[in-house]
Amino acid sequence: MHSAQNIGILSANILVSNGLRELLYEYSSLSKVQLYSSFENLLSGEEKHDILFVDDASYLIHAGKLSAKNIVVLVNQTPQKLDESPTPVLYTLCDEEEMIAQIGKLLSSISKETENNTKKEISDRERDVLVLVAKGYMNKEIADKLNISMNTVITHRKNITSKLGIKTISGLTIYAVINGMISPSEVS
Amino acid sequence: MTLITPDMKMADVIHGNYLLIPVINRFGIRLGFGEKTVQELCKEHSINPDFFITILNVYSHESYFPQSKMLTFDVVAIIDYLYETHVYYRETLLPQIENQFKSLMKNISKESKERYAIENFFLEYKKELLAHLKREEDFTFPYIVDLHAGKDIEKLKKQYSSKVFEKEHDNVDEKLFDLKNILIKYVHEKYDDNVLNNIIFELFRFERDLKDHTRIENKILIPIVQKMEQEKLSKNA
Repeated sequence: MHSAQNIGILSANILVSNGLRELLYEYSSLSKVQLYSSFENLLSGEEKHDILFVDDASYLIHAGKLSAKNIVVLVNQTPQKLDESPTPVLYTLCDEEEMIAQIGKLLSSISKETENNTKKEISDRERDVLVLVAKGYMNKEIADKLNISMNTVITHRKNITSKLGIKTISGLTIYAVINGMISPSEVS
Repeated sequence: MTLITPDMKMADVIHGNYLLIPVINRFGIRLGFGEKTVQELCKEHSINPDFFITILNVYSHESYFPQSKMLTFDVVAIIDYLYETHVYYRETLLPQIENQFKSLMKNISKESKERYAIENFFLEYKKELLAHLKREEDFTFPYIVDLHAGKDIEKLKKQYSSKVFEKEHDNVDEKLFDLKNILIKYVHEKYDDNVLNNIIFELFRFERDLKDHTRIENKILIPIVQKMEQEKLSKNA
């Protein structure tokens, strides 16, 4: 669940975008893939995508105006041995096995940075914050108690949630109780 | 799986996706339908087949959601369906999960902090969900039915606007996910594997059902209400 990446596919060809989405659902842990049939369609969605797949025709026209962390261009060719394009590319003329291999390679190179912190255990400081959250303190109180800024508290909380995959305060509270960080009587 | 069509045998629909069994129950259709088709059963139970099939298809296909079509369905039929879903949660699913938790904890010491934390979380979750369902039944649903009937009524009170509605849905969904996640990742006690596994299966199933329910409420019910409210305002103006 931690790889809750937000993916978009921009292609006028519904068969291409649907097919790619099916492959992503089937062979990756991606669970949210939005399809756009036109550039206007993409703009009105206002979604922030971690990865945006764009067909080559749309890319040629709109390249400068696409905003996404990673852009992958769908190129209607057989895979090239020497890939010198500056942007990541997915070659669409190949068999299914090769396509899956391409997708796998692409996703693992992209997710290296983003998934880095989700694998680790929580840090000591995050643990301090977690204990106070579980005890029912508000962000402002936590900031005062630990002598850190509100923004730092919020960042710690975001990291805790992304590492543990627990979103709610009651969820964090049982995590803290189960792991002996606080006793049940300390829960307000 | 293919989209469900009126001429399909109901039995084939269920063989294709057994999770639809409680869904058809909500329409009053019970197992033992022999060779009857979807259409025949709808006729027998006086159900609008178009509505019935759309609900089944939306449930079966996570990416299938014909919003513009669904917005044209009778709002009373939608509410009836949502209400039956509530009954299923309240009278079947929640008590079932609660019993499973009881049997899970049977052999775990009462001193266990973990036992305390998990039991507490579930009870709190149950309370919150029941309160949410009740608010919809006592307040939201009657309001919409009245609005639909063209009765002259006050606007839905501010404290229970569609924003609150959506926020409560998020809460209910997120807590259920957390509970499941904690049972999968962080438990230490020596639970009976089978009982714990069954609880987790049940929670996954519940999560799936709830997601569908939330989707219908947020994407269909709320837009219909907003549209009716606007029409009423412009009529009064």
